[in-house]
Amino acid sequence: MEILPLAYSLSLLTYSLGALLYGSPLPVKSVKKWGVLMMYDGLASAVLVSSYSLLLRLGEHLLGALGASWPSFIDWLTSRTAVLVTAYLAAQSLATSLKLSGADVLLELLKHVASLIAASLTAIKMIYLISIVVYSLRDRILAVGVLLYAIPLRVGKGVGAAMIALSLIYYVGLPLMPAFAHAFESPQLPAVGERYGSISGKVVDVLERPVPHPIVSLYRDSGDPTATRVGDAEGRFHFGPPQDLMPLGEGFDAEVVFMGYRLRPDPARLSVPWTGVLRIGNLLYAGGGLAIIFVGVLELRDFNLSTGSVVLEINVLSSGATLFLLKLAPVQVNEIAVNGERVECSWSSFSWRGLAIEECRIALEAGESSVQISYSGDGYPRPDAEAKHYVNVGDVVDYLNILLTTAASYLYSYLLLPSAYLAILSASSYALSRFLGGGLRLRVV
Amino acid sequence: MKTSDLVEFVRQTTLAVMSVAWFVFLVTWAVGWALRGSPIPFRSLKRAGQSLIEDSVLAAFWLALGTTIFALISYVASSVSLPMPPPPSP
Repeated sequence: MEILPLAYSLSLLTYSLGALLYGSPLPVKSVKKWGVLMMYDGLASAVLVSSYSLLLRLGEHLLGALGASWPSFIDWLTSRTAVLVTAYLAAQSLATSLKLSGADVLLELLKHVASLIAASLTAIKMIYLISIVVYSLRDRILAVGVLLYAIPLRVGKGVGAAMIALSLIYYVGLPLMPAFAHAFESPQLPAVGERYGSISGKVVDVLERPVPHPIVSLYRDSGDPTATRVGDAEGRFHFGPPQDLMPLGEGFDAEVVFMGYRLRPDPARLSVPWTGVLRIGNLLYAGGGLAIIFVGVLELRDFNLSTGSVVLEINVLSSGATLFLLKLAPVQVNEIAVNGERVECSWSSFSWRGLAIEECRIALEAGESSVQISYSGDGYPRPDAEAKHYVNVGDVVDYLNILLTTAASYLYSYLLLPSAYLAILSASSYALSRFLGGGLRLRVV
Repeated sequence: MKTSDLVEFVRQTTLAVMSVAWFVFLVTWAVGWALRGSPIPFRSLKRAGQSLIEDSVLAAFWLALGTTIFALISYVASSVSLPMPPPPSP
């Protein structure tokens, strides 16, 4: 450090100048007074320059005696930042959910929460910046403070004393902040993922083959469906964040609509969270836009499905059963045979959600039957249905209240308390600088 | 300008100030005696001469002791910053 020799020679210069003024032949009292003052200043700054390393070690020693350390303080800051970032992300994801599900009214409340968290985050960032500056530059701040202190005629004495006091007080004081804030620690913000779950899965037919574009509806009670989703070509569907906010443990009745028919899946009762397969026991999707719905008590003994051909061995257990053949209008059914005999089927057509669908019914008698269908057709397009999102408004308002309370407590413990603490540190620094820079009067002569 | 040049400049200035100071002390001492021994019968003038003599002697004393005091300060401060010896163990 080249600053220290400079400061040392400056203090010697101050001392000599003081002696010169003191011994000058001018019989003026103030000149003599200034001379004594400058001799004192020179001595005081020489003491400070010589105890530079002592001052540095004093900080370390005080920290050790108080049981605080910089690495643990930085850890504390980082973990608090992580807590706040998590809270902010939770608020953001909730905002996304609310926006997507159409409950925009609650967004205003959430904006307030987000601004509170953002303010706390800014405060933590500011503390982080100050501590980084103090930690990495404190020896240089101390050296520059000593140099300013040593300049003759008290030019930089106040500033120098303030810098010396700051480097010492902040270095010791900042790592004690966790102990200060510990008593007022905030609770962890509940994350969206811990409160809301999802229902997702796949719709399959009796042979566990995927049913394309099923319309899956969830009912909380009889009446309109609470939530509706159109599955993809592989039968997959998803209810939950970000589109829906369904509290954990809430139960729903599920229903699948396919080619105009409402079908009951197994399992029919789903409670959040749920992931699995919804199997429809009385539906067979042959592929290429042809489906068969079984009505009656029957057993599917054997089957053979290939492109354009369906062969089923059915054992009807009740007195009779009906097969509902459903096809899209463009699908060509070439032949239907029951027990080897060709059957003519009268197709009736109807329109459902933008799809033209034709159906015919084949009655089967009790006992074993073999059904053969040959057809030609290709894919099944997505039906024209709107997704309906579900937000449990009462629960979301509760959650928003918790968020608001927690965010307010964050503001308290990460903005107000640290600011108060920094104010205390500044006051201590000021007191110490007063002591160094003029509070102390030493009579040399 | 490098810091070492600055240090050198400050040292030169200090030396100059010191040599000027010795000369000034001599002048003060002479003026003091001249006032004290002058044939003007004013007590205040005599007292001013007396205090000038005292000041010049004290200032010369402190300036002569200055380097010694500074060396003492740095010696004491550096010996304080040395690690303390471990406490004696029984």
